[in-house]
Amino acid sequence: MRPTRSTIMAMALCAITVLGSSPVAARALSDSPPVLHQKLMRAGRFEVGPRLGVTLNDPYERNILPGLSFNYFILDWIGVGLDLQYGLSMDTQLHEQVDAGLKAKWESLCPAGAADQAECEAKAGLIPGRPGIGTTSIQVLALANVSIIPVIGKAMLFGEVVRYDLHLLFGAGVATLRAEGDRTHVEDDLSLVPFAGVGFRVFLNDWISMNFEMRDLLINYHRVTDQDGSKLDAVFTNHFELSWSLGFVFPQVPSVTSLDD
Amino acid sequence: MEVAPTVGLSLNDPLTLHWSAGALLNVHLSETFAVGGTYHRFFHHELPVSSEIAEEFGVFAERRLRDFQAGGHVTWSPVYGKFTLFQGPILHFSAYLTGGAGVMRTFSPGLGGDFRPTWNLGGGVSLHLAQWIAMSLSLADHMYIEEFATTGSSFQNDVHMQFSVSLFLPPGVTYRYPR
Repeated sequence: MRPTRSTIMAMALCAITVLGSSPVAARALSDSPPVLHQKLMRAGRFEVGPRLGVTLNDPYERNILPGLSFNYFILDWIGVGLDLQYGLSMDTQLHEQVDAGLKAKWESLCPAGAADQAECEAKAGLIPGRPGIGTTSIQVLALANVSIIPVIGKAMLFGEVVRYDLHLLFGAGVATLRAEGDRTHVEDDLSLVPFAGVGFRVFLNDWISMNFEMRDLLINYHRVTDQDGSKLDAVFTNHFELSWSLGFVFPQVPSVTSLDD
Repeated sequence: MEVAPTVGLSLNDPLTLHWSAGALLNVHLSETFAVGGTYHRFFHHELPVSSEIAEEFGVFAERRLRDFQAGGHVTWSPVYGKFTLFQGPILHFSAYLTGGAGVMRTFSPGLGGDFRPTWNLGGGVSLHLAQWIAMSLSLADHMYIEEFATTGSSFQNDVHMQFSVSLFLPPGVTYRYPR
């Protein structure tokens, strides 16, 4: 008697059930990767795009840092990168307040327009015509980094599935420092900049990402001149930078893990 | 409803370290929108820049300390997801944006205080440990206009980092199944 189609299907189902629960199948499952056909959003890809940073907690000069970022991911969990930023600076409210205080002090000691003003300034140890304190701001910031990506995942954004990662950054670079305020007693300078940070990256699609980071930049500089125009000692100072960047990732199509990976 | 005790730290005041303790209340109108209110009481610690200015310039910078902030806000949570760490249980998270307005009381030490209207924008991440409890880390910029005796009006940014533990009431969740 020839077996019917339904008999063959029933036998096949029995065979799959028996083999599926065998030690051989269990071992194969335990050896398989946690995610089959995983999209490797970073491995072997370049990410390049604009960035915008702003420093927090600056006593005398606030730095706004537009620039460019370039990253290459050696593996899905590790990458190296370069950032180049140009600094736009503005006086903080504290800077204005100290300048106003110094000006009032100068005026009270040696009023402007007095006949003996120059003599008075010399006697009081004041520098003639000094408008206020001298300080420095970030002019150019060039940093190299290593990023470690310990957390990757998927999330819902506006009802769409997006991929994200949390990453740690370590690196170093150089900053050129621009003299600000009373430029007669401060000069442009250069500093080594070690830094560390954390970041959150969201892939809007396979090849566009958005990145939010917070970095602690350690910059060694003469922060300010004192009332005599002397520079205070150079010290490493924490500059917390909040930044946002847009990344264009190439090649545009990410690789996918296969069963052999 | 979400009730959360909070602690916070102001990140961008060079003269004074402000840390805060307070409470947050959110009423979740939908899965993505909530309205709520916050109250923070600030505590102060003088930073070395303050004495540097007095010693190096012979100038005493005018300090305006924050006393408390209270206000309302709207929260929008467009991102949610889940993950596991170290093969542990699945954890749910959400990321949100928040905006609101309120009032900040500021004062100079030894003098009276003033109420300043504030408005704020920020964002944060919540990690849901169970159906009724979550941990949140947020960053918000509380903006207001301060009046200084020496320099007049000045736009202030109080960038405030905040950690909270949220308790949800009722403690269970409702599932919506596909039809």
